Amino acid sequence: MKQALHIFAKDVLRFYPEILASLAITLAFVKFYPQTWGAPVGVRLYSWVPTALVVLVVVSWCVLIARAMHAESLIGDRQFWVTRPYRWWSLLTAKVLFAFAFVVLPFLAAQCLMLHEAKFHPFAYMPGVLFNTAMAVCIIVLPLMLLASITKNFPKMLLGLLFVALYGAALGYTSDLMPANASLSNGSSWWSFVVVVAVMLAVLACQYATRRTLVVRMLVVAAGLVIFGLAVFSTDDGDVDKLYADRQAGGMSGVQVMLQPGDAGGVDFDPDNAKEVELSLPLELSGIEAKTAIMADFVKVAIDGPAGQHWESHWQGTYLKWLPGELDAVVHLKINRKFYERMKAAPVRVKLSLALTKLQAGTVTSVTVPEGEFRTPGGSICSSEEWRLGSLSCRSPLRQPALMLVAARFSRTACGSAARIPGETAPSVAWIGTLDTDPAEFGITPVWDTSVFFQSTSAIGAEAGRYLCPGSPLAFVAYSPVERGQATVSIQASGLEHLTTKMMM
Amino acid sequence: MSLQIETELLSKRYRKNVALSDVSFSVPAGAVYALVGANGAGKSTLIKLLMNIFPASSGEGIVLGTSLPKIGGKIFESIGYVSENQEMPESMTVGAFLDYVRPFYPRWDRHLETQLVHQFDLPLKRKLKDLSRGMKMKAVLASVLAYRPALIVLDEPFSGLDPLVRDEFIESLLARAAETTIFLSSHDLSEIESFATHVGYLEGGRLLFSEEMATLTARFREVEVTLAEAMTDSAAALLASSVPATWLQTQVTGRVARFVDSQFSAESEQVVAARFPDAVGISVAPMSLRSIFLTIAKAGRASVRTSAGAVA
Repeated sequence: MKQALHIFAKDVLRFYPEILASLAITLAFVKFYPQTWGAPVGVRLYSWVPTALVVLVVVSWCVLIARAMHAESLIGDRQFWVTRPYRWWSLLTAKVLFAFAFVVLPFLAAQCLMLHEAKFHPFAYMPGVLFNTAMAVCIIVLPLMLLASITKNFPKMLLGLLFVALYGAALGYTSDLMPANASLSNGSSWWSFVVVVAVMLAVLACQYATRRTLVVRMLVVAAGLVIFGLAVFSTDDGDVDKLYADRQAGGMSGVQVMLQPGDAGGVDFDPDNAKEVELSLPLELSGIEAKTAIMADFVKVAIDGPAGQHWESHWQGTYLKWLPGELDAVVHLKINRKFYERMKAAPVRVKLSLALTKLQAGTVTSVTVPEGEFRTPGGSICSSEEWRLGSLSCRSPLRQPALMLVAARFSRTACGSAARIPGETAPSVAWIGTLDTDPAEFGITPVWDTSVFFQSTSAIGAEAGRYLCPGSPLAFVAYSPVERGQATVSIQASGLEHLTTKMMM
Repeated sequence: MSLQIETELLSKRYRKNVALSDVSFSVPAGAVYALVGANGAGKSTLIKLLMNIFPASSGEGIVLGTSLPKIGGKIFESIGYVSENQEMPESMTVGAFLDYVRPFYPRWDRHLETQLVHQFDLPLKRKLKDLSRGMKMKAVLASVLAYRPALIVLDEPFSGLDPLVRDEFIESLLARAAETTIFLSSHDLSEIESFATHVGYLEGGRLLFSEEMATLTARFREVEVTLAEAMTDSAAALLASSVPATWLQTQVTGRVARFVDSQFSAESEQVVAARFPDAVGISVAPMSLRSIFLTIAKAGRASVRTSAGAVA
């Protein structure tokens, strides 16, 4: 450890200008980024500055890590330190210490300062702050250290980053070429993440212990190819089937799903996607119990033709919610374009499956909208300036709040208007939050700034309210998952194009 | 006498290119071993294998009792390595560099460091990048000598140095020769002739020989035979093709035959006299190291392989 501290001290003395620059950028980020919270996009001059600072912070980390690690480059056979009594683990510890002191700790401090600036007590959210910091280490710091360890200098590292960017682009492009496929964030995806991080750590240690750069580069490329293959060719169908086991033939706890052809249905041809077409199917749900809601997370379809033709999609992600009495919703799913062309006028049997989560309403918290900002039950801080027609601006510490339904009464006239008639309001609802239970969602900023858009629940034809005025009541209803299952709809049609009554081209 | 370096069939290949082939040699403690050879002969490659800067393709080696793959870390507290083209922390001053490397060595001698700084006239406040080549080499040498290593390895240390600096460099090395073993490479024979105790000759990745300097210079002699009558061309050609394999560069010009005997001994003159029965005079002259190596370079290499000393 003594040697590690000695090398660390040398790096600090040697790279103090870079360290100071990075700290200055981080401070500027802490100072200026909060200006974006709740602000309308593009209103202020230089509105790009805070966003640019996010990029600069990451770039400064990249420079710091590269400078420190390339000071004792592992590539080549001419470095003076190679024939000095360096212990590889001491050298690696020194570099980790450097990254911790000048990347991780400032990031931790920046998060605390920004939480404080957003009026959240940092210590109350320390698990989330630490979780977000750990994610930043795994997603940014560790890959940068690995890249620095297998490159000789900063330009070569930038070249490496370019390859990583090209890899990401190729991954995205290839994924687009593959049939639409959902990804499930569950325990197994966490395990995959942990394995990838462990592999990165092992490869970094291996490079420091052996300096066999060619071998390590080949390991990195091999790992990249494996991840590429898994990301592009594997599906989460099995996991979705397992998580949303189809327990009963009649659907989930009596929930009935029916196809309800209407104006909202149709077929959409995306010129950029020659392989798939998007079907929009209006669905009607019934059997939703009081104080529950149904959320459709995934959807898939199996289509059979008269001559034994068969096509089945993967589970595809969707995001639909139904409350009791709220019947209609449109589900979108992508199907193979060739199969669609073949079967658009042929008799087909379509089996539509939905992976559903039943949500149980819990605590109801009522709030009266004050002047300015107010705290919500999920820990967020929201405001309702008049220019936010039909919406609320909220900022949340480290993650979206737990899933809630917000019911509000919006005034049809501006709050300060003389023509305003007290009580002349219209009901609206909005879903906010997530079922995710992680202590934080990864981000460089620890504060999530979101706009909550309300949907009017007024009777059809009635004018919707647009202004949430001080004194208006707000009700927050917490929802939590109580059951998962599947529901299916079987449809006979004279052709895929006749699944809906109106074609959208 | 214990061996500080010992290798057995050490080879290094880069795909199809052979940089070093089956090199076997040893360096006894207290020796000043000079590894010589032309540029590209494989000297730096051999040194880098010995320092485990990169791994050997095959073969084995031991340095200070440690096998080559394990060379690293603590063992470098006893090895001082100086190379002509090392990448140094150029932005450091000489003083900062010495301050930085000092804690790595438990046996660092502060008094000796001060002495070396004075002796080399090192500017402690100048950055390494601002130093001349010679000054930089002296700074690195000071950082190596100050911990009194058991083995000093120098890769082309004199390359590009002016004569004054080179002499200073050699003097400081020789001043510590009694307490250490020195292994150095050079392509300039005159540099090492005055102080090397052992010499190895590398060419095309092969070690042609490795032996004590004294035995090498003792066994090479330039022989000139004066004949009673001039030889005909056909007789000269016949002679050239039938001389012992240890005679190199045999030439006959008129009444004078010249060659280099690479295995000269007390009996050699009798052998020469028997080979040239009409000789009227035989002169035998010792050779400089430079002449020996030029002879070897010009002659067929296989013929100079020898069983004398530590063998290639």
